[in-house]
Amino acid sequence: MEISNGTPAGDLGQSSDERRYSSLMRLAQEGDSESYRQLLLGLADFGRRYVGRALGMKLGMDRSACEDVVQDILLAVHSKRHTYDPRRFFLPWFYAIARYKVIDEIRRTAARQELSLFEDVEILASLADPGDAMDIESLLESLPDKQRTLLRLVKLDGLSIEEASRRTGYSASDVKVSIHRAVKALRKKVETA
Amino acid sequence: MKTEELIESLAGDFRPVRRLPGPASTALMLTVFSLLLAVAGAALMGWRADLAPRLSDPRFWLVTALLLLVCATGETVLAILAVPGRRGSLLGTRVGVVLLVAAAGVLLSRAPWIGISPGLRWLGLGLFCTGRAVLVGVVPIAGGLWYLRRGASVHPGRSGAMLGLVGGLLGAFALQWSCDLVEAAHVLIWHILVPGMLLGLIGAWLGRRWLRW
Repeated sequence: MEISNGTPAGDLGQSSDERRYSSLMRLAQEGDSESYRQLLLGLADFGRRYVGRALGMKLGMDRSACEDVVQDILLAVHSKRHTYDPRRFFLPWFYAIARYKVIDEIRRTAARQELSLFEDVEILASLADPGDAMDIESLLESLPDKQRTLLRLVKLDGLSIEEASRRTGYSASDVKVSIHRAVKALRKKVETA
Repeated sequence: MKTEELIESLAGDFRPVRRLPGPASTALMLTVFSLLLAVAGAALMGWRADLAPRLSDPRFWLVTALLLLVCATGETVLAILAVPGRRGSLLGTRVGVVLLVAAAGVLLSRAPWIGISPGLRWLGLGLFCTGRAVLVGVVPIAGGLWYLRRGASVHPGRSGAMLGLVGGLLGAFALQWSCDLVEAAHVLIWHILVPGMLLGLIGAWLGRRWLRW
């Protein structure tokens, strides 16, 4: 149901969830801790569904990581509960917070992936001594064409992800994933050699 | 920690809260606060030499009133942005842009477009005015940051940019009373555009760092 928080909460068309949670939040803001507990328990379920859809299904994040995000959302609701105006709808307020936390998690995950990609590439750099050139070449030959080309462009030719993406026509995320897989495969080969 | 344990701990640690005032009263409070600071800034910089004839010029009043309205609209947008899920910030921004364009239109209708030939002196005077506008805008920006951190903006960069822009326009408002150069190009570029854009960019940067929660 699409509801606007620009509309006073007294208007018709509220869902039963909206009525229940806005009433619990109103009582909670007045100091009723049992209402607050009930509210948070309900919001945890809402949060799990929302985070599961946004992060679990779309990004393949595991359940415990999703649960961490749900906890982040509950903490944000707790620390920012004074910003809720009881004359307004509650659920748009809650979902705006949930969305903000989910986007935050997506950014953090992207940053972590970028970091781990470059940490992996650093390991390859240690193999790139002139004396090991033959080994590197033979290792690269064992990779599929796409991974080899992208790894060569980014690691050996020093292109950025975006430049490699422009040059090859693959998307930036495709480039990152391919390099990540290539590094993983090479690492496995080096370790088992 | 399990989510249920977190909930028990949050409910156990629960205290009643003082609600954030609504956007209308917050916007009014921020506008009055900023206006007082802008007037104090103008007084500190010194009143313009031609203030008496300017007071009888309707275009002077129109530009000043439009600048004040843009600032008040910007403060309203900030108050809306401080509350998660609250709508209206986009409409407020559009209204602000229309008012700003109207102010520019009134300025452009005023002769002369340019009185001093563009050159080092023009640039020097411009940078001097921009510096003063930025100085006037700093304190309202600090106050706005404090308020926004109490709130919960889900668009930290946008909130910071709006805050900076409002700070710059408050500087322009103060310069209306302090700078006696009447040429439209000077006022438009050095009083309004450059301080607004500069502080808007700084505000966006500050917002992304300080308004995250």
